[in-house]
Amino acid sequence: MPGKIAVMLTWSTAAPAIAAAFAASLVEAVEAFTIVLAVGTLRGWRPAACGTLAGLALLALLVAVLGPLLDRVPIRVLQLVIGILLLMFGLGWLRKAALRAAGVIALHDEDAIFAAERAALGRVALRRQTALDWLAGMTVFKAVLLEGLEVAFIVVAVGAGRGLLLPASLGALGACLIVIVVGTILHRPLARVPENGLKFGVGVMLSAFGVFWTGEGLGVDWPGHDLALFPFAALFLGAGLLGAALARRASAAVP
Amino acid sequence: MFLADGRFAAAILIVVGLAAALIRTLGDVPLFGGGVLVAGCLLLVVENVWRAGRVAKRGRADED
Repeated sequence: MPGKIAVMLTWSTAAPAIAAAFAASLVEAVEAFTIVLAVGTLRGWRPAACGTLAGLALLALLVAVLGPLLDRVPIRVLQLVIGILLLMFGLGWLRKAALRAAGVIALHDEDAIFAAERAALGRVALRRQTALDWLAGMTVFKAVLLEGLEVAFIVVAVGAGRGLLLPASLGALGACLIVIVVGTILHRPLARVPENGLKFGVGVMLSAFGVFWTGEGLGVDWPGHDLALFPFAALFLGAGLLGAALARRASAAVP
Repeated sequence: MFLADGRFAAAILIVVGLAAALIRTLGDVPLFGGGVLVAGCLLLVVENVWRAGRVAKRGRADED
């Protein structure tokens, strides 16, 4: 029985980290994939592949160099800094997702982004034929690097200092692989992914992690320790839904 | 990535600062400061989203 309880407690600690890393990586991977697909279909897969590999290589280098430095930072400082950054990231996503759910701002439209990216590359093609492959590759490089940095930050933030880097990394890798496989089979923007729902959920989880770590960094001993993440997530979910309901009513009210 | 809305980010920092000050002042009961941190972040989200809805409605009324 003690062994079973230890396994349950390990899963209750690891599950939120894996889920947060998986869901956030799914969103970021879809956004990066849209750009890669736009470039690939317009300019060919060679510049798309080169840009992707270059972005991933630089990302791996940054993680390899900066990752070990985290071990040198005192744990309380690390908790506080990462906690505050997670709060800004998570609350920002939650706020935007709530505004989209309320209809105050438009939903993220992968089809429209795909079309806009192709149009932008097409316009440049009329002016600079010779440099276009380089431009296309750089477009993909920037997208993969930026979205990848966000994934790397989330993996480190939810996993570092708690021995959960590997599970969080596997969650992120799993999400990226799913997007690549599904996207390659469908060969069009993954517009059917419920992106705002995912962002809402990720915003809730990252906000819960953010408040948990910020509190620990400030010296708060949360009741139930890691299990406090679950009520925090429920509270942020409620706050997001309440905010969306109030905003929907406020924006629709007849003067 | 983090500072898409500067005022929102600043408000988060103020909530964290307030919680830190309370924890430092009430050394024996840090959980109270933790509660302020949680409540402050929840109120921030609700207020900011609600206000954005009202601003959006005002913007549409001005266009009419």
